[in-house]
Amino acid sequence: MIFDSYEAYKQASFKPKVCLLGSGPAGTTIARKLGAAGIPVVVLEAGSREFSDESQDFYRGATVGDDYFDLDITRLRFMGGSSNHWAGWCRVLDSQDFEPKAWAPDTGWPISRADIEPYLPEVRDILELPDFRPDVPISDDIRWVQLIKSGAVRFGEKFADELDRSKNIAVVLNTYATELAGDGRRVTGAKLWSNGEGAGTITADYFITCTGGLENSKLLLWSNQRSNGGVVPNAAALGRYWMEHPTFEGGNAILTNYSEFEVDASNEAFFSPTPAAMERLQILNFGIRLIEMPYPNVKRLIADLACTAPTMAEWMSDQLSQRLRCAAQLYVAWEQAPLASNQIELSKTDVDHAGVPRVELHWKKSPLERRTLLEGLRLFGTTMAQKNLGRVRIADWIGNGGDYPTNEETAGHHHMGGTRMGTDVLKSVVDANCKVHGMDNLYVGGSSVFCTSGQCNPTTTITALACRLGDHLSKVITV
Amino acid sequence: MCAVQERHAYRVRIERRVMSNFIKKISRRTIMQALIALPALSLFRNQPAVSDPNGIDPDEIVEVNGWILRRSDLA
Repeated sequence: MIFDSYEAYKQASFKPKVCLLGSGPAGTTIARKLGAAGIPVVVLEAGSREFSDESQDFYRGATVGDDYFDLDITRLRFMGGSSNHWAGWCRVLDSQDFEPKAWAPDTGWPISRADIEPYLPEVRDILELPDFRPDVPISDDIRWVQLIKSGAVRFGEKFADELDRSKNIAVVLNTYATELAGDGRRVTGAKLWSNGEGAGTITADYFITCTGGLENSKLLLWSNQRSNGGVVPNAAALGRYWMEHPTFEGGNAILTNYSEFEVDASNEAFFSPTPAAMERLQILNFGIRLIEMPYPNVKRLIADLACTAPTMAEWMSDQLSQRLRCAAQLYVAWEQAPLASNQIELSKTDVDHAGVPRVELHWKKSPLERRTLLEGLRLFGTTMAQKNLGRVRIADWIGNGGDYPTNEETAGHHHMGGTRMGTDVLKSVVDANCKVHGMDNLYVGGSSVFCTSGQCNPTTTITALACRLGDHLSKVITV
Repeated sequence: MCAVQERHAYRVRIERRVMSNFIKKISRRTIMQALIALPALSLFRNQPAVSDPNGIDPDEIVEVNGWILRRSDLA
């Protein structure tokens, strides 16, 4: 069932066991799992079926620290959530991403990759993916890794009919849970804002917040403030350890054989470090995106030359009435060190239309990441030269210790952390089952529970964790 | 003419054109860039590495002007 307002939903007299906030990849996946298990669940979606400026305006916020995107362009607030502008790149976090690293404080998850692997066939169905293929080592230091460019499932579009037909799932659009009320053991209700006005309170036995990598923290911070710690009793880490995937052009390359690595439809291939190389160099994970320019014959030669002698190559390409770029570009996205100082706070000066403080994001890249970028490119370049696969040039600003450029990709629009998973209540917010520490009936879904970011796009792992949480709750909740 | 020979012929023709226009069109900076570039490009013609009589490892990895090269690339 899908309702356009909370008013319409109330008239249906639906009795939910679970109240789930958000209809993005995590929320929709968990709702479908619960619905399939016969558990009645209401999904509150703050936006409508389509994008609107009015809804999106709730996502405005401020950033403090390094350059970052405006917060209202880096996520979407309507049915299907940010899957509506997702590029569709898929890969599960690596096994070593779950392991603690002695050289990077506060790394390590309370679960391993083996805990989510049983859900990967289900994830493949949901995200419509081909088979995952194992990484291919090209040296002791570098792996050629698979990053699937999928068709980018829009969860709102793909599952709208199924949700509408479901007797166990009620999706309520235009309905925003502004705060949760709690007594330090249980969430007792959620205060609602629907179609531009307060809409009362909804109650359920269980609450799951899947509102995104910024909003989960904001909702819980605001709820905790309003209920004097009654929603997140152990809040030392709430909003903290927020992470992104910084992404910058790292240099370029000349390849010996342009058919050595199979590239995708965008002429791209991906490379990451081996766990042994990360440990030896004490760096974090990273992904190098090698983009081949598909030039044939003499154009390829000039493009190779463009890497080393750009002025001469420009003159040569002018002679051919062509505009040729260096033959292979290297972009690097890397794992961020989880730092408590990278955090989401509530704005002290700015509120949204419902009176809820907006997000103020404090975010900086660390020296360890800067070293990861430089040493990662050196690793890749060394492997390419040793194996005679090509030669790599590191961008001047990286080699010279210059500032991060301000006109590049910057980051992946991947919002992770803030309600991280863990066993230490001072450094985490949820346990290994995504249940908020100290609360009996409050769970969190989505990338806000990530302890570390790895180097790859998060949606595949988000969906796997959502399948796992859905399975867990299906066993815990009795109807 | 086979594909390899054809490609080689192309490269030779291009390099000749470049050289003939060097003095007229190319700045001092560009000549320096080219001097760095061309030895590296020679690698891709599959020339065998020359062993160094002084015992310097031709496969040693060196960083020059941002490039990660084998020492033999600079020979």
